[in-house]
Amino acid sequence: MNLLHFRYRDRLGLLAADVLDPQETDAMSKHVSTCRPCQAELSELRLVSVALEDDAVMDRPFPISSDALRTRVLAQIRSASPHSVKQPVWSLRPIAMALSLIGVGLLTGVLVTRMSSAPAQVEPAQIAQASADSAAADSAANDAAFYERLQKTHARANAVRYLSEAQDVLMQVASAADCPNSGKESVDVTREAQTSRLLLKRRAALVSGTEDSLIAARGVMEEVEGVLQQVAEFEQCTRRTEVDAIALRMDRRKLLMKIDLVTQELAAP
Amino acid sequence: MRTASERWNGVRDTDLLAQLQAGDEDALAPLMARHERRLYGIAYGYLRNSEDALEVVQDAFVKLFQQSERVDTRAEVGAWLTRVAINAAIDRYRQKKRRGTREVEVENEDLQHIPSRREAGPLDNLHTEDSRRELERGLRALNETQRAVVTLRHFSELSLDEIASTLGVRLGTVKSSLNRALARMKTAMGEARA
Repeated sequence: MNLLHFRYRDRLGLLAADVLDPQETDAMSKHVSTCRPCQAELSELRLVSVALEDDAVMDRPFPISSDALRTRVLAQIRSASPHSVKQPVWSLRPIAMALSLIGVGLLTGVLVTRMSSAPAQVEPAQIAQASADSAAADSAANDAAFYERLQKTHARANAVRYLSEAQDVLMQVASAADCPNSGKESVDVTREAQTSRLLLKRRAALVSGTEDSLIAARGVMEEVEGVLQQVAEFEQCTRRTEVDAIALRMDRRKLLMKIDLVTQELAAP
Repeated sequence: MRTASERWNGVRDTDLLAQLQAGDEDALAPLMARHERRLYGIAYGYLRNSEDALEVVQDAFVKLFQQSERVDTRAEVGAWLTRVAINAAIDRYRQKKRRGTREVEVENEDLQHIPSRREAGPLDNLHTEDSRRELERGLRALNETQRAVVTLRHFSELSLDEIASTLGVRLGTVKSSLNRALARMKTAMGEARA
């Protein structure tokens, strides 16, 4: 044994993986041919390498069809796009606008009161009182309008979010992966069924008391609710024919397209 | 009349990427068709779980769509996707470990329903199943970099230089990681047999 032995021994993995250049491979192979411990080590490392190669070329079927993957990718892109309303539309913008309006109202009230009261030589205390009354009246009116607008915007944003999430679920159901051990007979819709149940639970809270803001969406929301109820009742492994039937029904009713149109309508400023 | 898939026949990846950058969403489908199985192989090789691997592939294509403008049209789309997929797989693996999930979940389907490359009798099947379990144990013994190097070498057949570029590490790191990975796997697989 010499110093080269230790150098080669520490690189036997690379020889086993067949990644060394020809010159180095030759040099190491010569050494290994005369070194029993290296031969034993190399033979075991080669078994590992072969096991990895065998595993890599194993015929692992792609779990879903290419079309289904495309559907999933497009659904994810869609749900993340700026046009979709994952973020509440109302956020801070209307609040800032409303506060500005209130500010302008207050200022106008003060100015108008001062200008109109100056010639009559009204006492300063009276001016202050009048300004305060005017400002309070303006503020109350603006507050009421603001809250009403805010509530409607909020309701529309909630409905859009509900419909977008429902649309994702319905698209995912149509492209669900095969159930383990079932061949192509049934599909695993565990996640979709669970999400449908959660969405149905949330639906009432999302839109209660705000129906008049959502008249345009009522029909589609009822259709969506009907389909979600069917999906929510699915078992973990559901027969593919049942899922296909729902997909066909949605297709005939053009439900996904309707959801698109309604969400665009609701999300419009 | 040409079908949708025929439209892209012979069109290079870089041209498809340019189409995607120009806003042509249809260019995504042929890119997916060309790379989905290879990416799935890499992601599966790393994560050893079909559902996780599928999600990694899905995320890689979503990222390609969303960040197509950031991809250099002169570069290989396949290499970019490989980098995204392996990094996503590493992240997912790390998250699972952090959450305390068993590091590698060998799915029953993988052990029972994947056909062997050759016709085999019942005894051979038992042997194959044992071998696969040993392999999983060996892979579990690796750290993240070693696992990534082994995956890219065996499941994507990248050269060591390409692996270094994909992972953003030096060639020497790739070599030492591969060398140590095989040694660790050998020990872990030996313990599994004992």
